[in-house]
Amino acid sequence: MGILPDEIQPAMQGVIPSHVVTCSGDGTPNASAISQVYYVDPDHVALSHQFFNKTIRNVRENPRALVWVISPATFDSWDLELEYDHSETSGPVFEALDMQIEAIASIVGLKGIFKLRSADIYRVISVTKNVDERIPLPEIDDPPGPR
Amino acid sequence: MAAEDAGSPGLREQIAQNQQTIDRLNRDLAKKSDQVRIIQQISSEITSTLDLDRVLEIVLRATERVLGFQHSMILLEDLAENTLRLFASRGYDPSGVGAEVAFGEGVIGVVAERKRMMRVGNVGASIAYLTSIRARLEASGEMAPGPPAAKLPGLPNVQSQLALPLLVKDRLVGVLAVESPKPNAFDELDEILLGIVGNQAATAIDNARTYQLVEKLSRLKRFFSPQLAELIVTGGADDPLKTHRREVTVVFLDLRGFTAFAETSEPEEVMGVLREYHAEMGTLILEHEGTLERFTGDGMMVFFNDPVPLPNPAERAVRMAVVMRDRVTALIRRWRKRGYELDLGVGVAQGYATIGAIGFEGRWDYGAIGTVTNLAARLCGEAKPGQILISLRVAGEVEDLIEAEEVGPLTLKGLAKPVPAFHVVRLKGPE
Amino acid sequence: MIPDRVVELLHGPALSARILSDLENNGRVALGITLASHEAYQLKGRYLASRPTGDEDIARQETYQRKMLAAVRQVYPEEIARPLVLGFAYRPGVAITFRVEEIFLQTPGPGAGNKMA
Repeated sequence: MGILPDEIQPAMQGVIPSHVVTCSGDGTPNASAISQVYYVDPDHVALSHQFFNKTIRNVRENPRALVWVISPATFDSWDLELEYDHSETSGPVFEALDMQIEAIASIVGLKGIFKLRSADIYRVISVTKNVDERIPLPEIDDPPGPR
Repeated sequence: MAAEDAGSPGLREQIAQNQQTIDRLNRDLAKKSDQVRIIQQISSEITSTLDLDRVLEIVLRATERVLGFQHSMILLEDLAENTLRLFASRGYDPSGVGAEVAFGEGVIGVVAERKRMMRVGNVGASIAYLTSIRARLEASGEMAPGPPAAKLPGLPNVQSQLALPLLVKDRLVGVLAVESPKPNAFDELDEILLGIVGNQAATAIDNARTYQLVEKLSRLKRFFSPQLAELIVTGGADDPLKTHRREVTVVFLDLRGFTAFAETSEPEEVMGVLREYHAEMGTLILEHEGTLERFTGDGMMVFFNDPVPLPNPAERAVRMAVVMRDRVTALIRRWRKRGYELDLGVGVAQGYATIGAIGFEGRWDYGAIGTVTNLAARLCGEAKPGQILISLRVAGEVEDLIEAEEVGPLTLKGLAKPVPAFHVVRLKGPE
Repeated sequence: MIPDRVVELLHGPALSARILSDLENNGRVALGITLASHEAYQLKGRYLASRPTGDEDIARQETYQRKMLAAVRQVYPEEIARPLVLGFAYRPGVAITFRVEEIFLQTPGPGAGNKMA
């Protein structure tokens, strides 16, 4: 049995964007939105590396990262402590991420611009479910606006 | 360690939770194995028919009734154009049948290109995200403004897609896709179940398509050369059995005195004469790239410029008629020795005709309808033994090639006015 | 230029426990903010203080939720928008204040990662 519970899977489909926090070598934190944390197996997740950014740079200096994911099924959220393990540029995980990125980019006319450089594999160190009590939103009378 | 901790509330809770998970998985599995059983029944249903439409219908019905997917579609590889075409769908209005998807475009196109299954639970959100990025790139001038998002068949508000390549021994047959307007609508078990359906479907669809092709091929081979028939079924040439209109040169020929001969001779003699005559004429038709539309005993109708367009149909028709006359002259010499009085008459005309499959289920023929066929038949009827009568239109096309005599104007049945006609005496030139 | 601004975050106590312990150790804050329109920013700064939330804070969270719901509805269907917004208000809660020193643009696309202030 791995560390990731089954119930977390819906939170790893990219329906609700996630956030990732990393630190540079000197301890400067960086918080960034990411569209999806991919489920690899019960002990690993993957993040897509499309553009070289601060997150990518930081984890190569300091492998620890924290991601926050939300399930669109239950709206539970989790903090995952991660450790950057390695990057893959082929194989089933890379292929799955690459296909997904290409499928959407081709629809929007951004094929080739949004391109997967590598699938970065992280080991999950800890999983913390948010158990804080949330305030129920009082009924709001205004109906949903036109969409 | 574990024994000491077994009584601790945390661990007890953990064990209870694990048991709950196991129970849930068992329940899920029982439900799924029911589904698998039904899927196996379906597979025997689809492998027992070779009717493509029926196979597609069974697969989509099963996808809905057994697996509960309300929106499903099957796209098959277009053999001619390296694209996918929507062949059948369920849960869409309009059905979208006929729509094309290029390889590498969208979820379905990428699945076809990579021959790998894909499950996406955030299609709508991802498209919205990239669209906003694209708008920013365009606004900043980093990217030229382009067309809006590609219009692909499917739900306009799609959020989840599960697309499966239909493979037969690693060869792509098509893609089976299910969709939902809800995010994250599909999970791993859905992948497995759809995969089982898809495996069965791929083979059944492939068999049905192959059968369809073989059927079509054998039908086409009755009218056309094997090469042309192959070309048509692989999409390299238009299907001539679809009704179309084209200018053609029509040649009618028959044997003068055949009716009398047939009435007074033994059937073996009649069949022997026809065999010799058909063999000679058949070879000449193929040599001149003519299309034999039909033969009725001693009569034949051949046309040029369909299904394959030819640069000089009138010339080919006239050259063929002249060679036919020469060959029949040789046959006649032999036939005379046996006491048969036979001779050839030919009529040639050119004009527009409506061409395609004529007939009814089980007895389709490839045929041409138009004044031009009537004119050629009437000219043939008027031709005296050894005469090749050609219409004014044909004469205009080949006047530099032939020596001709005007015979005419002829009053022909079915034609309002008398028409001029010419008898082809011989071909000009070195021979 | 460093804007002399203080931001106060309202958070649930359980998740705040870890954040607070990190802040005690390091004191440096990075806060990612993503709007429903995909615009994204990052605020970086220094931790100042924390305190438990009270009734006034709950009223602020309700106001925030209403505004957020209106924005999220532009992007998500109702069955996601409403419960999602619910995930951003806590009782009891912890208010964490920090001083903003830098602001970065993080909206994907041109200029992503650029320092704005």
